[in-house]
Amino acid sequence: MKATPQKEQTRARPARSRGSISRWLGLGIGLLVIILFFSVASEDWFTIVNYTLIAAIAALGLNVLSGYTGQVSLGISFFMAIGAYTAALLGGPQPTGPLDPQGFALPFFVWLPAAGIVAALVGALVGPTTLRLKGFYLGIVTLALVFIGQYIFMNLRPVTGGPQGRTFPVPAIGAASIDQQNSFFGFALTSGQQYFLLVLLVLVLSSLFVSNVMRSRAGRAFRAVRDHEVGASIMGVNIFRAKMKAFILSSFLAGVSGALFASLIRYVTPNYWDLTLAIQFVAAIIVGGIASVWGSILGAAFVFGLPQVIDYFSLLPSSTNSGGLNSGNLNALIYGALIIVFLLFEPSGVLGLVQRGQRLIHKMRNQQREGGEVAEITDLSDAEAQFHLESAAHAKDENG
Amino acid sequence: MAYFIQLVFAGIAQGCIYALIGLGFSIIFKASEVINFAQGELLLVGAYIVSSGVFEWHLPFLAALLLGLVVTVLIGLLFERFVLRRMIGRPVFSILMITIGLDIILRTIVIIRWGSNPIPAASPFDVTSGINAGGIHFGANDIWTIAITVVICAALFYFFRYTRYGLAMRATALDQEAALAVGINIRTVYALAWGIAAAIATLGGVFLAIDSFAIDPTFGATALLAFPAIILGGIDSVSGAVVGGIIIGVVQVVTAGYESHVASVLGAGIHQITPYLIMILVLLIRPYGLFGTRKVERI
Amino acid sequence: MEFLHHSPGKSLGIGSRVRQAPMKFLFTCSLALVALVMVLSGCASNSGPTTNSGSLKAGPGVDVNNKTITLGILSPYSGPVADPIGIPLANGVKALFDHVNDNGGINGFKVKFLEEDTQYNPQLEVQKYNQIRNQVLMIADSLGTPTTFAIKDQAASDHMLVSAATLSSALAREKYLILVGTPYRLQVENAFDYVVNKLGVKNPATGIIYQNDEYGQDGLTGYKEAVSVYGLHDVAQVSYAATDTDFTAQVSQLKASGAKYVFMTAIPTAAAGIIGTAYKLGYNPQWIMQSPAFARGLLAVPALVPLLSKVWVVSQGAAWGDTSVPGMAQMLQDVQKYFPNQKPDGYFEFGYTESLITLAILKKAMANNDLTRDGLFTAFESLKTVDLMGLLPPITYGSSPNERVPTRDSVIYQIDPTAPADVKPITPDFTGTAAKQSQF
Repeated sequence: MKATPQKEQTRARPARSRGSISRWLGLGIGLLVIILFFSVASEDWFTIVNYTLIAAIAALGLNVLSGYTGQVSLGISFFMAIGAYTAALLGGPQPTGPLDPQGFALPFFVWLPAAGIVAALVGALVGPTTLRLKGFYLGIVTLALVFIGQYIFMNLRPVTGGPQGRTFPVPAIGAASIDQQNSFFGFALTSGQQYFLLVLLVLVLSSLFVSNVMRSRAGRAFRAVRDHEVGASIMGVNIFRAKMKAFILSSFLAGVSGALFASLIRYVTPNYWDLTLAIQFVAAIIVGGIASVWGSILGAAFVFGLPQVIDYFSLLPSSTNSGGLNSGNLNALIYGALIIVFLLFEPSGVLGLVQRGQRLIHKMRNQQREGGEVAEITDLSDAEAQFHLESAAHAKDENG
Repeated sequence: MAYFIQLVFAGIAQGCIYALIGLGFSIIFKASEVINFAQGELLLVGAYIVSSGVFEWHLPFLAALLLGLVVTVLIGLLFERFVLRRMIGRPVFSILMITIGLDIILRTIVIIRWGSNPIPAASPFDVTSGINAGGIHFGANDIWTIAITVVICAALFYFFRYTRYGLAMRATALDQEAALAVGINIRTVYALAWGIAAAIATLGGVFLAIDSFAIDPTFGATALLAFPAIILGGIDSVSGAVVGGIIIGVVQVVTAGYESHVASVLGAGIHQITPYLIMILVLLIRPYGLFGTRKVERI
Repeated sequence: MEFLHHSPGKSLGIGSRVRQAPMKFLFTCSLALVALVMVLSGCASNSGPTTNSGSLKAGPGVDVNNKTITLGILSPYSGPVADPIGIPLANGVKALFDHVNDNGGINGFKVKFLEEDTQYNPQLEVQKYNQIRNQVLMIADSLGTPTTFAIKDQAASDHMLVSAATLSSALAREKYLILVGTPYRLQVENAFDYVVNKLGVKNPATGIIYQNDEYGQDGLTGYKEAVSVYGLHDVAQVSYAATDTDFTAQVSQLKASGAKYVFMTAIPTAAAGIIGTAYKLGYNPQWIMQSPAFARGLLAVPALVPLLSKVWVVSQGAAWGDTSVPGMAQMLQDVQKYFPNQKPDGYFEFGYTESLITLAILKKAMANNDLTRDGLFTAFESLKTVDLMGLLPPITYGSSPNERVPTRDSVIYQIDPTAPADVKPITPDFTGTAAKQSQF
């Protein structure tokens, strides 16, 4: 269905202004919700939400690499660990005894970006060898990174504290460290609230940055690499450079996320950065929605936030004997089942579900107006077809 | 010297177990391009059922082994039929993820049913049975592991070369469309692939359990080391899986045997990552593994 | 036949950007719903009556009107550590207070528990701690070193006492963490004190095999201290990884070194593999197990039973079933009454003893009329010679790291399938020279 250029002109303007009203409305409601949550939620909810938001940053990073650029990666926990230990080394307290790990006690606006930068540098180092491989091979090599990383972290006692682990620095503004209650401009903020503000800021900045990148030429190059590598190189895309850029950006985000994770939990042993964690992130972007900023956030909410919410409401009691269906085992079952169900029935993840809902609503609205069925293209995974469908629907809206 | 040979022998036995697990991966991958992350948990379920068979339900060992094989093959077939069949055409990432989902569910079911305390491993051998020569003990379990692996490899070789279904599987692995076009029943091929892989996984699991004396739900993690084995050997090669497995096994055990000498420099636990280091090294030189076939890309 | 060729990009279902705006609306609606739920529960959970009644000062978790004291338990109830350790230990913690509650409570106050499943995961422990910290007076059981360490700073700033169910020496440096029992490190030292001083073996060839994590590190530290204090002939220090299933390499090393006494800082599954493999290879040293290395399940492995009877286990506490010990008699009655399905289990006994210490703290604080967090802390630091009814020797705490190590003694047991808890003591309770002088 092609419209004449003039018609497209007249169509475009009203559509955009209408879109922008509901867009501003959505933004406003979102802001209101956030402020509401901020003021009344209890500390334990803040822990859950902060944890989820930090996970969203790493999920975003993984999406950049795997979702947008199609490079299978099971190694995100490695880069998170690099970021965390950089933060610890730079920001941790000075050692008081021979057994204490190193720390330079630098302020957080040094160690937080440094965490990302060092992780990105490691990504740049590792990238050339890893990114030569494709598919399964790449996946297993990134898996190898996790194990090699664990070995290094276990043995690098001065930095990581060895198997015993170490404490991680807490961001502090001057003398006020955000794990205490502090007063800003007359408002008393709890630790959870302060962390929330910091993490939300980082997440929003990262999301804006990533979606900007994806709209730019580099982003299109990423997608081209994912969709058809040979075709992309024929078109002039420098495959290697595109993959490296994605890898570096992804590692940066993972590093920042790792530093924030470790700071929130305060004490981490090297065991923490394991394959299970990396797989959780892969599950997150699949469940949430591949190649999408909102998908990363939704996915993190599902995989990291939901189990804790289930636990919080104590749907099942703790058990007093072995095995059995207690809440921990149930959570694991739900987690595995969710993965399978989403992959089977909704490969676009939660985002895809939402979009289906929208399409349904839109279809019903059209039916009311026209009294007839819109010719539906059933292959919903084809972006081109979607676009045509929607512009056709738009046309009907305008004219009908 | 005897020390070294003991290590090598143990490494070969361990490597044969990796080879068995890796073969399972390989067969599934060759037939349907699916990477089955759940192979480790099939191994776990198999070992647990055999152990329960012997200690809980008081079956003779072979009967328990048969039971274990039947159950895991059934799981493999059901999963393939009802879950993977719908995933045809989806990207590699998604399929890998769905097997990870199965992996999680299987392990949780084991924990729900058996708890997480260690349970004894069922073994038909007496602990000390075997051959002792020159200060080296060649354990019965290890000898049997190596022997059975060789037999299975020979059987698979024969199967792929000389039987109809073997040929059908090779054809499907090469080109699914063409295989369909000549009338090969893809469903049977897939089912066969998963069935064989599950059975081999159970066998590997039983041997591994005998070696460990006691098993707990984290037992399946060993299967991860089969990945470097098959990548090293070449993911679509039967002989590659065996060679790769043995190399990985020997390197791992020998490293473990000498690592405390270099502990001050290299720290502890390097034997866990030497398989991966070797894999990366080989991939740098031969990206398709030692015996893998080079992929020809059609533009 | 298009579907047979999968190209990575096409079927990923890229979201159409045209639909951003209403989608955001839908999203914010669901966000609003979620926030509403959180707000409601947030309002609900911020309860923590801190009322003062008469002269009794009450802190969070103390309900003076209903006369209850709420304590927290942060333990794995699911996951690999739950069955062997987490659940029996928590049961022990609760059993004592079931008994206390049925016998008048503490000055009429009954003790209740808020139990949270941590799955042995530090992040979950932090989150659960945050969930319950305004509702409990102290944490009566926090299981695991990495998990307890994750909350130690928060607990310190909350002035919250945490009874740590782990024997890692590093705990001694923390003011608000209560160590219950002899640390692993000293267990190793006591074991070799037995070999050298009690058995009279001079300069024995010794070795250690330890798990490659923080638990193993503590054992290794103790071993090294023992080597220097007792003049041991150290021939092998071998580590294994928690995921190892084959122990040929490690055992071959020990065998080649000729170690006669080998300490095992391991977990049961690995211990089975190590002992079995050693036997297979014809190597039979005197194995000495750290307390967590032994589990009843090992005796179900037929190949191991004849071997295990020669193995020693270093632990502590009265033997299960020894009714000559008053604490044991009482505990057995409580098991029958409150946890009849509980099999003899050292972790249950550990939890029970842990609660005895908690009880002592609460009683003292009650006697001082101060049931606030600070009141409990003062009581804790001033505990002297608390009678634990023979389950452990009387303990004294204090304010320096050395004083925070409550006991330095151990008992060496031999594995005995005929004994109630599968172990029978072969030494009395004793403290070796190295353990006495070890600095924390």
